[in-house]
Amino acid sequence: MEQVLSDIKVLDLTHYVAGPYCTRLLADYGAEVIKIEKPGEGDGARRMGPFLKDDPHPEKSGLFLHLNTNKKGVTLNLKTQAGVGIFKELVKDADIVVENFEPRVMSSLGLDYETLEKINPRLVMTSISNFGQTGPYRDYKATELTIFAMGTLMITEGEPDREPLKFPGYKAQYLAGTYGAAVTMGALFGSKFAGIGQHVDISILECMLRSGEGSGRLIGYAFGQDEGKRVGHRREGAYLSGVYPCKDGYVSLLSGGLPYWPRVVAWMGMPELLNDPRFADPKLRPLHHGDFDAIFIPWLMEQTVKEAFQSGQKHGIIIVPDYTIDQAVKDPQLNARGFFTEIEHPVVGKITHPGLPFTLPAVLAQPQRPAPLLGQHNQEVLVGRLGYTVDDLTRLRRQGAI
Amino acid sequence: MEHKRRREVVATGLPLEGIRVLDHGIILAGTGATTMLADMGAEVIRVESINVLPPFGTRGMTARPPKGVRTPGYVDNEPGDRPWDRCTSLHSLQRNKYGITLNLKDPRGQAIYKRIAMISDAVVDNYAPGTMDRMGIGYSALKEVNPGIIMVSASALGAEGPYKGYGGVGASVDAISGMMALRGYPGDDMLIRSTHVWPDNIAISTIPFALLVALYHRKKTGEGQFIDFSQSEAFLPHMGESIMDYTMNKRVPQAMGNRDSAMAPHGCYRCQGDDRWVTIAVSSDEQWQALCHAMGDPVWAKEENFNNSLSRWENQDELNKLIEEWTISRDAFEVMHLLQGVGIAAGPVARASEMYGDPHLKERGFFVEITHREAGTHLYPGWCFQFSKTPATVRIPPNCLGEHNEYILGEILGMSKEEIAPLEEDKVIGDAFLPEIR
Repeated sequence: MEQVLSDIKVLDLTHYVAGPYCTRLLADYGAEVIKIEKPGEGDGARRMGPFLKDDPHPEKSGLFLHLNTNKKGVTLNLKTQAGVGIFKELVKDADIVVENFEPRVMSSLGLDYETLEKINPRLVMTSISNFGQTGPYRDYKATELTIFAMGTLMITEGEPDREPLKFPGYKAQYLAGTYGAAVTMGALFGSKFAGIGQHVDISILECMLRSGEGSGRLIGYAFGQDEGKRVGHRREGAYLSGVYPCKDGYVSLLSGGLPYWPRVVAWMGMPELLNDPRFADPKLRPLHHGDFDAIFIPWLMEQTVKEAFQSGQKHGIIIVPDYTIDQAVKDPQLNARGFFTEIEHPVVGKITHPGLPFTLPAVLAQPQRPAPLLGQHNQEVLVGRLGYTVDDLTRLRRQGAI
Repeated sequence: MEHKRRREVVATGLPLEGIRVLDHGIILAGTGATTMLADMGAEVIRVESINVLPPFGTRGMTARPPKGVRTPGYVDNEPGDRPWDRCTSLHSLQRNKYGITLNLKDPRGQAIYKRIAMISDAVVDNYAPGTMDRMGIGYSALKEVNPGIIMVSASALGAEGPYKGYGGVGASVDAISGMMALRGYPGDDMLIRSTHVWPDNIAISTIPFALLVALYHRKKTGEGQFIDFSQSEAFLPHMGESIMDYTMNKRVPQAMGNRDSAMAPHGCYRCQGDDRWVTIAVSSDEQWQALCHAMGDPVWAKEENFNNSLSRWENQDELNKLIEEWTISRDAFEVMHLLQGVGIAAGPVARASEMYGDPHLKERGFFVEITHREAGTHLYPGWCFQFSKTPATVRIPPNCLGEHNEYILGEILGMSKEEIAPLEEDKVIGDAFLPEIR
């Protein structure tokens, strides 16, 4: 069925996280994304957990399943002439090629942008790499930890007297994948509506530096500001702001400062505090944070997280529960809005997945399609589309090309 | 009198040339997202008002902090005569936009806005849900003047649903997504807040994608739409594998700190100097051998505890202490270059000051010099993407308040000077916050 990007063809050479998330976003809104994997091993993410029931099977990786939902899967060995030949045939009709290899790889395969542009002048080729396609660090190695550390955000994360902390998971890579999708769509507009293809060079490090905080820190430094420090779990600054305990869990409050004070007082049902000079006088207020906590925390601990969340929000307080993942999955708002989706996969069966980042009301939503098995769509693409015969496929497989 | 209405937009030679977007962004999400569209060539008109200080410090926490008093958040920590044009929050993310001011409580301001909306393609806001409606310029109002308009309205939790009417900010998403619960040192129960509003960056990068997908749809069908953009929904896929561990295995992941599920050594090591650190990640036996050799083949490296990848992972706490005995007397950047030279992923925990001098970023052209009429000349962070054929440039420096009132009203809407002057007198438009604004 027709989706917004149904007429867009993407050749997806990506692996691990950043590239696949970029192409997943395009697939989510209907683009035909043909994921091209190395025969035999496939995408390295297939070997990364978490696995269903901890069985490290290449079709059971939760990371892979999540990142490659909605894509078709083909195997091609790009180190063979036949494999490269098939890829180049596919490029003729493609709108977009996305890759996130180390920068020397595509040219070593004879598939650099200059070559592909000659086959298809309107092609948009997006290359996502750690440090970019150029520069002295171009061939440096990096994991999520390396890039996150260099992105200037990590130095203020964690406890003051301990090592700085990276964010959980693969946040820099997911961010780069998201920027990748936005910028690829931008470049696609140039290709579709002005006939101009181009090579898009995205550096994961630069995505970190161009984040709100990254750029805020860089400009802050240029403007002569002090660099921040780690504060850890301490509640600092304006109250109410920070993590607070309830009877059965924690909440995050973000209603700090005098402007919120009347609402806080109303929420607590303690009108006598409104003009209490310890809290109402802007000069005294910062000195009495402890006094405030001594009143507020016992009051809050009488309530469950759910009760505090609802009553706080009713009083115009910016309060949210501090969920663990199992709680997030059960959140009423996300579920009422249909965010989670069940996808049936030939090997892992029916599993609940996180869904789309946004919905388009003007376009009918489509059921999500499971991530491809390795080489699942070889026949559909190579026979159905390119006109190879089934015998050709058998021969190509024996020759190691697919 | 029939006013001239210019539908054509300024040619930028960039892929999003010809697209006009109205920007009502505040703080990070909306403002950063529209800058991305502007960087790719769209004509972005930022709509503000001299009657209202935007919330959360978008143009400063107060309108007029006193001159001559050291105030962080401004150029050289000095508010100056026009603090709202000199604040870090303006300069960090905004550029390539036209800036106008309109008093939307005045019917003339409303009328002008709707005339611009009539010839625009899209509107972006990240106010609390319902705010644009209360200002008279919500989707139902704009659809009447421009049926094909696309509106992306972003909020922390989404506008519709059981939490309708609830307030949230980017940091709320950190908590309600389960990300905060995953943050921390291994084995440590303490909930640690982030010093960042990371989910806002996901909004900055996802909103342009959403807008362009909606615009692509409109190009094919003529249909506009309203996107109720939930920052929580945009962010949760970035935690996909953690969510899958729960939905597949009913297991709630624990905080891992700087550890990896397979690689060791993989961590953060103290270096020479005050609070200086380097990160090192070893992912193969070859890299381990190279690391040992770089450290001068210490005797402890040959211990049974460390002689294969599994035992290194199991004994990583001890391993990390021993590696730190080597890094502690070395400069973090030196360790990076030394280890990268033998194929190991090493990188310092960098500060902004260090990245300004970084030779790689310099050669990449990451920093760009901008001269700004209120802030002076500085090197600004540039772009996280490079287009080979149509490179991004700084066409318009970070916009001063109301800087382009005359241009937009005069050139784009075809209003005469005689029509614009009373608007200034009546404070419908202007370039300074009204004196009573605190």
